[in-house]
Amino acid sequence: MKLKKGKPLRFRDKIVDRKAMERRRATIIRDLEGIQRKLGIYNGKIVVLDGLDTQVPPRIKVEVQFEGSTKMEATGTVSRGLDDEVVRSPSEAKPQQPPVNAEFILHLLLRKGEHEGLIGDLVELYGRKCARLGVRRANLWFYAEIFWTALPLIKRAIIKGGLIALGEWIRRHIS
Amino acid sequence: MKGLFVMGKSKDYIGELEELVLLAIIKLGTNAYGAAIHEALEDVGRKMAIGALYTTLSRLEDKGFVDSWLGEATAERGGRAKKYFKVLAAGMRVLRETEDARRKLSPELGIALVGGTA
Repeated sequence: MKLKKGKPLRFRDKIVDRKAMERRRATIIRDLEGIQRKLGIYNGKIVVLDGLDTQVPPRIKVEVQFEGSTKMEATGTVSRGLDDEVVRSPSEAKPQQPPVNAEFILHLLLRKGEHEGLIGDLVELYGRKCARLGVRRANLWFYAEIFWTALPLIKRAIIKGGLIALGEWIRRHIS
Repeated sequence: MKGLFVMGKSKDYIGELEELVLLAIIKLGTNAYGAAIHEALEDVGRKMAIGALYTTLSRLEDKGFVDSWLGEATAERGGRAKKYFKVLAAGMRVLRETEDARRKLSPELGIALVGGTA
């Protein structure tokens, strides 16, 4: 193999030994489980799609399967050969953060006990939409969800405010 | 105060959406939290905002048909906990009653549909 300065090394030798390939698969999956824990993907699993058939795979292609049917493809780097650890986690698999300003609107309207569940669900669904539709369309979906979610909350706030005002008015006029 | 504006015993009845939400919770079992229920409803063609789902869940909780508790926080959810739901005995009873009512009425609906008259 000729090496040229500045060009990345490529390993194209195929593994003939099936047992060696299985060992490699087990090693990579073990390493990826570490990444899984680091990324906090507790409810999913990582499936290695590509990169197993090269002797020293510098890059491996994986599929991150979240809970349900959502799948996300990502590429990770193996730094030092057969039994080495994966040093760079698959950046594409990191959960995307939804627009903060839209989320803030819900913070204003929701009651204390409602924050965790509702906003958490929205963030989770946003991550799945990102994987399926891309960030731009996921952002649009998120803004639309915030709008339709905020409407009944605004209605609730107005009714509550109105009832309090009515109560005050009655109390003032009776006493 | 609420009772002044409620006609009859509405607490004992459930709407179509409430029924679907209860059925989705039962189907999901121990994994019944907001996003999962939302997706289960989407799978049967019932699209709605997550806020509308939470309004329904909150209503069902007020009626004593479901119970909720906070679960584990995950990075996927920005470190926020999942809110799990479980159908209570009262919820199961009201579902059975709705199903009975539907069963009693459905033969007539069948005849009407076959006969082509409403």
